[in-house]
Amino acid sequence: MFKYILVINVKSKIVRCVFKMRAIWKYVGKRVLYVIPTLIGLSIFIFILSRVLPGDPALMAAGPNAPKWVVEQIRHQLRLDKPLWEQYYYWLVDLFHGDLGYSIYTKRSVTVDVVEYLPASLQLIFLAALFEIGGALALGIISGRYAYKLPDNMVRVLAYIGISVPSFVWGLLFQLIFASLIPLFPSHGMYSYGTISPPRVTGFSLIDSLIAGQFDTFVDILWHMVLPAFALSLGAMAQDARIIRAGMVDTLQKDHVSLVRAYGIPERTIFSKYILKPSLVPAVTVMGMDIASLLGNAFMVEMIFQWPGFSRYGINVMLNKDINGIVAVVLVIGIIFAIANILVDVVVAYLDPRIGRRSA
Amino acid sequence: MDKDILLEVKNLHVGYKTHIGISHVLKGVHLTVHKGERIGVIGESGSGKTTTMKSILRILPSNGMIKEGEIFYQGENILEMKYEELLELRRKKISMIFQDPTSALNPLFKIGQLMLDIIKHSYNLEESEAKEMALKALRDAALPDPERVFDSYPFQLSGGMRQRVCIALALIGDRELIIADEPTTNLDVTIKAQVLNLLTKLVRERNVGWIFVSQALGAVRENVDRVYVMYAGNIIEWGPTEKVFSNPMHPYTQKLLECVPKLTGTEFSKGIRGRIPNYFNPPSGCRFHPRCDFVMDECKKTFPEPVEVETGHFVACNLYRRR
Repeated sequence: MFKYILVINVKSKIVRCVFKMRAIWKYVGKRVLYVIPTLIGLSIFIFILSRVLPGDPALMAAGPNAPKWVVEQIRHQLRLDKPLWEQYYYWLVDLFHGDLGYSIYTKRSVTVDVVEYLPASLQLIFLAALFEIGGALALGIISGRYAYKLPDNMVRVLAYIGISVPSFVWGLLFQLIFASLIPLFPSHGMYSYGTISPPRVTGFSLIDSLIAGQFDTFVDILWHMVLPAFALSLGAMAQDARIIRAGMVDTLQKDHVSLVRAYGIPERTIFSKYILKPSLVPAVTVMGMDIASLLGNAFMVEMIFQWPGFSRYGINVMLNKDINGIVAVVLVIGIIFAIANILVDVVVAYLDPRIGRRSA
Repeated sequence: MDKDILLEVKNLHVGYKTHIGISHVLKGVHLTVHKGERIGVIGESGSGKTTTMKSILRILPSNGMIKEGEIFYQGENILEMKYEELLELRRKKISMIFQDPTSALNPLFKIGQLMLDIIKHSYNLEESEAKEMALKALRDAALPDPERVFDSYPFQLSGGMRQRVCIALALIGDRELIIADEPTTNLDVTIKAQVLNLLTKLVRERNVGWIFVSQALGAVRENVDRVYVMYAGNIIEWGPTEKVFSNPMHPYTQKLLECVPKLTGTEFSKGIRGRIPNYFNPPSGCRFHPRCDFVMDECKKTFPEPVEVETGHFVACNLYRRR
């Protein structure tokens, strides 16, 4: 009899758990559905913008001395001689075939470019995001825990510096200090001289090196990523540390903190549980957006550290008025923002039960 | 007599540091609660009632500072306790019910999580025993379906249920003193009576010490043994409930009692002219003198010594010192 009850209890727990998972997937599905029209809107906007801006892409691709018929031929190839809506229609058809068009800058398919450059940037941003989250949490919590005291004041000064100094200045500074004066880290590139790059499987050199079993290469790549990733993460780290701190200082004044204190919960638990969790909700939202925008901000850092990444490619296609490249870059950044948004929504819904359930 | 005293607050001075200066809120508050005695504290908003209650448990906000005074709990000074002793006091001896149940419960934690956390820190119990204790407390607080409440977030409960949860928290274990800081002020009128009846019933049944802070003068009159009247950080009159209510001596108490709307009356009371003083630069002497109809010169200079007008009924007013 007793056993029976136990079984039922366990079963109901599993059922509840599955139900919860399902609720989360439903929530994610809903978010994805919201994102699709946004991305379509973004593609139309950037498609039109790239084509109505002054400057003739065909002329730029052909060069200043090209004869007129060559220019006309390129224009025809790029379908620039057709009406806008028709151009967009064909672009959309190509997109569903996995073709983002021809790049007049790299003289090959934009799809190939994206596949080649994007993974390098993503892995750099991933490391930067780890630095950002870890640093922001550590600094923010220290600052909030010792609000208005010495550690807090120190963190606040650091955060001001972190926010006000752009990432490329950090990049140059780190290169000077940690690569040149004290040669702890390599100054640029992805591999050391003489390192064999792993065979390309996923495009993410870190993962590829692991797949190929080249552990030395893995460490070498990681070593090359530390300085650029850290330089990239500092601005966002400082901003989020400040948001976590502000959240904690704000929560500290709340009645519910007085309540747990009045019932004899030790200070340490109060901070790590009852104050930290509510403070993280606003921080997570900003963090997600900050991490997504790292891709756009990475340009200067990638230039300085000669990182073969996507941001550098993005700037080059814009300078060369490579219309297909521009649309692809903006769309990719848009998709990454969308993914970050969904992730943020899920994490926030996990942290704050009121949010997920109200809209579900 | 002395052995009977549960809590004794003596000459408590509390201020708040702010960026525009120090706000001197409490100026010599005193309060005595005997074992199993029910005490009422009345006075208008901003008179320092909550500050006094928070000082007792030492849960003032970080800018609050106790400048002077002693708070004895069964002979031990709470203000000199070590942190461990203080935790023990908060866990087993005194509990507090807060004014607004909506803001007093952390929205991100289930009622059960909070209760288990509190119980496990207070008593060395297994998970299942702790849960049993929590459910019993919820049942005692007359919550229907305690299992469901245990598994709910605060936002899934109504205001009245939230305050019942807070009452359940205050009932965990065998407390000796329950502080209820305006427990019904933020509830709907219909719920107010229910919650108040529940609370008074529980307090009577368990024979615990009770400090009932409230603006609801009728409820105070019915449910407490002795009452303290507070104005601007001072206790200005105190005594057995019936004596204070039927024979208010201090001009402030008289005006305060007049302010209660009467069902038979056709007009609202005029209220008390003026407003509670600014604590950054409070009036000298008796803090009520700028609003008092019977103000005399000496009221502006010194705070009057309390005078016993009937047995146990004290008033701090210069009008009665003359006699």
